[in-house]
Amino acid sequence: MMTLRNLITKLPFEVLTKNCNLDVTFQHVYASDLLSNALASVNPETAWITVQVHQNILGIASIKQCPIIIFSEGSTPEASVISLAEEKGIFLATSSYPTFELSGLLYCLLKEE
Amino acid sequence: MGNVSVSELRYTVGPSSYDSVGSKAMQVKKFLQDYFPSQDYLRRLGVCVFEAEANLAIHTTSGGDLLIVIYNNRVKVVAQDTGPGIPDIDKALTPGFTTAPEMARQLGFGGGVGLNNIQRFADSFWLESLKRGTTLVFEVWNDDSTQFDY
Repeated sequence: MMTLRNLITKLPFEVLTKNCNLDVTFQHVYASDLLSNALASVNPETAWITVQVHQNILGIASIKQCPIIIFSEGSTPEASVISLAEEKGIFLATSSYPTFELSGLLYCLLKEE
Repeated sequence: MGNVSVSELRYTVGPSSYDSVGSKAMQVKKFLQDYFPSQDYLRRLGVCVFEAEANLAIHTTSGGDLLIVIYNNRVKVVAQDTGPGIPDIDKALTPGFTTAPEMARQLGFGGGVGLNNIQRFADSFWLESLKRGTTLVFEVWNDDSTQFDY
């Protein structure tokens, strides 16, 4: 299990949302750009990695109470999506790492915890 | 959860309304918080409603309707449209098979597992399709008999 606060200090990514609860914890990471796969698999303990940046991802995160979305490959959503995420208390960050490498980094970090 | 009176929610989903897919599912989930305190249950129901909503947006020529009926410990969802229909239901239920247009796929829809997600997370599933329309009916029960990893 890892806190968002801890994750932020260890991974080089840009935090997009303001005022998120950094005490949120996660213990799984799920990487997929297929919405149905993510919908079936993420949960309140998941950090979701995707390149999808349109607002449907917030619907999925909201329905499944997934607190963290990290965009890989430098994907960045529009400001309206970021505002909506802030309203819903969903943490968004973007990283220039490709999905495979970002997943690997997170895997190692979680294993160390 | 004891008996509650029957309640209904109705929504219209427009054709190709990709941007708003998930909005109805979120509204349903919010409304049902008062009926069903189990977050596990609401997540399971949310998955199914999201997929039904996505199918209406992606695959219909004129959009469709979502009817949500709440009674006792169960929620019944009816998704109905006026075409073009599913030519081969067995194929449509094969994981990975999709007829979603390119635009939908670019957004991450059209993975070909939407109906399978509903089959997996719902407690009953019924699908009938003709050229003039498709009706999907499923129920999600809030009881201890269904154990899912979701």
